[in-house]
Amino acid sequence: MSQSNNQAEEQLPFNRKLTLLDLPYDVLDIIFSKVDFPHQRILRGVCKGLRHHHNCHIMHKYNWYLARFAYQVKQSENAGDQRLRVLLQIMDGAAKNFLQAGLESQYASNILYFYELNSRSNPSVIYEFLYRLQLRVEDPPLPGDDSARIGVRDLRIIYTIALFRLLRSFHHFRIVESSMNVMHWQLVVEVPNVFLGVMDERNVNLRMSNRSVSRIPATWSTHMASSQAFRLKGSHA
Amino acid sequence: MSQNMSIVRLESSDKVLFEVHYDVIKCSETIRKALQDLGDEDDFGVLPVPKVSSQILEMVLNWATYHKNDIPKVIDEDAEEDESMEKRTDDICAWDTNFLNVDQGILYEIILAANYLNIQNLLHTTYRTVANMIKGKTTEQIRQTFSLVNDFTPEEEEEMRREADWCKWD
Repeated sequence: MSQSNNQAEEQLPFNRKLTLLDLPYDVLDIIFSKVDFPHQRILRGVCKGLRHHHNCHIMHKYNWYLARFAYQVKQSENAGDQRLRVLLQIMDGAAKNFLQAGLESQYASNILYFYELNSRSNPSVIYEFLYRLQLRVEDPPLPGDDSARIGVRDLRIIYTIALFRLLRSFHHFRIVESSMNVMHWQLVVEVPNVFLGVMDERNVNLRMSNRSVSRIPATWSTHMASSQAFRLKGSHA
Repeated sequence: MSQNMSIVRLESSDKVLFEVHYDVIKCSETIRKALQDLGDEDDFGVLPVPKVSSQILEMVLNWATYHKNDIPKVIDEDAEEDESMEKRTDDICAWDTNFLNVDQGILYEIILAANYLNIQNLLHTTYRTVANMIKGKTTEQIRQTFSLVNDFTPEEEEEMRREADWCKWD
């Protein structure tokens, strides 16, 4: 609490009255935490300075939340439950993509609602959160008319959510690399002990082992290849 | 000589000397640690408080004198962070409410002083006071209350409106 802060240590012009924005970040951080969510939302629209500090506040909380969640995950792993670990990976991956795309402010706005829903123990909070996060990532206009753009955007969101669900069912996947360029979100995952069959519309190239085969529907894999640029790396044990 | 009987001398940033009983100033973690570092001496000398003016230090010492017999509150950081907990800010005693009913510039200087001196109970009271100044107000009212200027461009305001619409969870 009594950490030194450069902002607070700056010399103010003689007789200049202090304002709220002169308070160090660690002080503002606690003040924000004592304000309810609706008023935190209002604060974000007051001025750029408050918005910036609130972004920092949200990201600080988010990191704290992740750390606490990671601890719980570790505890649950001991009990043999992998679902929390997967959930954490998905959340973390989604957040990284958002931040890498330079959308910190939008992320902060949305995670505020995540906290609000989480506080009400809404069971679909993660799904809703990821859906809206993706929606926002896809929000910058793409070439073409509105209906075509919205159609492509919706498809991408559906595929992304589908991919998350698919990965979740594997339980043991690991996100190796995650990056976003202008048009594509590129995700590299490692899925141990799983064999994937690949199909397209014109010819079928099915690779299989003598142990098990997972088939992806033709239409889904085609769209994934053309518009999402997901790369799946299979790791064979 | 026991520390409990000691007089501590503090020097403000504008070189004004204050003499105060250890029992009063022990609420300051910064001062307590400084005294521990100096050891159990009869004369601690003068402890400089370079970041706090005499006006603010006097106010802080008044607060500390009034609260010297208070049992230190244990601030539960987990509970503070728990979103399911009600964000209570109305539990400020009448004396503190009156004490903090000052010009905003002074209030912020008290906060900075409490932060520097690490007086947790005073800090949390001031945090609650500022939070209460935010609650129940619109964006424009908050700007007026804190003398903040809307420096968003029309494009940024439009973006925020879209963001707000988009963030509505049905």
